[in-house]
Amino acid sequence: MIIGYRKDLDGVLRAAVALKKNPDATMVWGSDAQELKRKLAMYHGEVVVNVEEVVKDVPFHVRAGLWVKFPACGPMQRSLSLGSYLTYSLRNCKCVPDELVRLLARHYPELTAVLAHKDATAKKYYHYHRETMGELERLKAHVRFQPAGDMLYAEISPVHDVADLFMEWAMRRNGDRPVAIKCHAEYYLLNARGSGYNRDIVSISGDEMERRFGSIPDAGSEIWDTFYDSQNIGNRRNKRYAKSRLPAKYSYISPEIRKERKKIERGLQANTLDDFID
Amino acid sequence: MGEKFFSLSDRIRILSEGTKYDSCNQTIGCHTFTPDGRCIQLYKTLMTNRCSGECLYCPNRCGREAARTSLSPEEIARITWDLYRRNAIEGLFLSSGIVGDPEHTTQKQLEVLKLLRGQGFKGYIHTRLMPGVPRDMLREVSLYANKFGVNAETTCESRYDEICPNFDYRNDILERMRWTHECVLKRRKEVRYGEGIVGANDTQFVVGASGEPDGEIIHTIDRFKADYGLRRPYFMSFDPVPGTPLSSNRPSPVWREVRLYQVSYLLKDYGLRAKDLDAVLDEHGFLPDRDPKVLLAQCNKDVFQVDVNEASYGELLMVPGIGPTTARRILKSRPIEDYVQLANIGVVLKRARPYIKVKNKVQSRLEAFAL
Repeated sequence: MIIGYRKDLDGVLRAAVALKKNPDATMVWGSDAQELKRKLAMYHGEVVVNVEEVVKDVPFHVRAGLWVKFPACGPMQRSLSLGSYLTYSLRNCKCVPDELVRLLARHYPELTAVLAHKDATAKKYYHYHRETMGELERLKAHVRFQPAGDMLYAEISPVHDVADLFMEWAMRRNGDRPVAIKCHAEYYLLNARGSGYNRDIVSISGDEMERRFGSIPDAGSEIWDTFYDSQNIGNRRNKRYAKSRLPAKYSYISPEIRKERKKIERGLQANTLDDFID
Repeated sequence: MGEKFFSLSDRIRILSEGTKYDSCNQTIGCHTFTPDGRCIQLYKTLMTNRCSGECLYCPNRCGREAARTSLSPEEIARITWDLYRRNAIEGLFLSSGIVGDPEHTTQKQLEVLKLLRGQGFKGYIHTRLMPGVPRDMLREVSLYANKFGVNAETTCESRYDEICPNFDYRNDILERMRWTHECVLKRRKEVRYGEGIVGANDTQFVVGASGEPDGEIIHTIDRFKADYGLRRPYFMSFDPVPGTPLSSNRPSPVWREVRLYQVSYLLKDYGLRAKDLDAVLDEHGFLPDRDPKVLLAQCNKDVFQVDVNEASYGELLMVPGIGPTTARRILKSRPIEDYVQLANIGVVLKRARPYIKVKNKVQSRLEAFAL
């Protein structure tokens, strides 16, 4: 029996229940309905079903416990719920949905036991969850929006599938003006209702983007650079510690972070070329 | 020199440099870090570095030769919005020199706060109030700012009179700290869940400006915690500024600031009182350049070694290498079988090993780690 499911929270939970009921079934996943349909169409001569036909609904006890947070050890630590564990694990680029479904099926009906990290797979997906959540937090902290007229523009290139979560956050932070996001090679317009669209986040073409912005705004900010440089206490420079706080691996997030990382590594230059010319 | 001779960029630089030693923080993540490793979360600026005060250590003191300038409330609001929209900051830290009298200066600070909040600014605002701020204005500031407080600078009236001759410690500082605490409590009752945060009372000490020993500072913090709801004190090492009366004094070592922060955390998170820490001070009342918690443990050898499977939360907290989080984890994870399990929980075994035993097994003698 071939069971197809979508790579999302609901799909994975249904697939786990389905696998528990039919241990010999082959699971096939698709990132969306079209991909799933395409993949299932390749299987001939076997019983091919969609997971919705096998499991009509996610059992109530699973849904009820999905977002129950297990208390964290400390006040600064986030508490963990099965829902966030699965959501972020599924968004990780290294996630293999079938593996996650098998893990859940092993623990069904006590799905929260997954959070105890008793086996290597559960532990691995916990790390995936942390990795993905970490990338989202880093994007929120380090992406710098460039003003262009009364719009804002930012480029992101996340490794994991967190672009939509980031865009929702960016929309909330700058709710009063349109924000354009370039994610890899695609363009999105946030707060798009004010621009005549019927949704808050819409995908737009490169031409549309160019028409709205003219050219991509300059990344430089004299005010920010002046403020950043003014906050440094020269005789307290602590290169090793500062480098550990802003690791080089975050430099991809924005040009400003790259520049600030360089300042941490090389120190602030007391003189510029202009000083010698004057 | 007046501001008309400075460009906006120059004014931002001059006024932000005036706040670089001021400490403030928020719990939200950092946007970047300076080369000295400090996190940048807020746009920190003075409204003006003109000041009628004659504080002996201050670079902005009245009469000192320095570039004087100011930013208008509109300019501060515009810069804050610009940096906030760029996602470079989470809010504003606003301080100022005293122009004329504290009332006028606070009025100017209030203009900035009202302007920003009126424009829909939802970011964090931390305001350093002037000594002698009127009570009604303090209340008004509490309606707009998330955190506000007066700098105590030092520990007692006589020392304060020495370094800040224009203000009265009892009236201009302590009374204002009491009012701030009252405003914080009142505001916390008014603000509903999700409407913003109201930070606890905060203050800052200039460490070493008036020769106060660390013991005095620690006891003052303890008193402020009890009387004014102080949660987190900030420290700024004294650094002699040329052209001030204290320019020939020796700078306070930076490690002293670090040790005082460690002690402040022991008071805040570990439930210790100032008198418990008297044992770690030297004969002059100063902290040595060593971890105060390790020193405290060495002074109380008779308490150790504690059995991690039987010790109470308070006893575990006294062990170097075990903090509040780790102590809670130990209580949850009992029985602890071996040191590997402790390491996995998060105990820093390098520091904790001489002070603990697991299942009646001890790894080292305490004396071996005495020094």
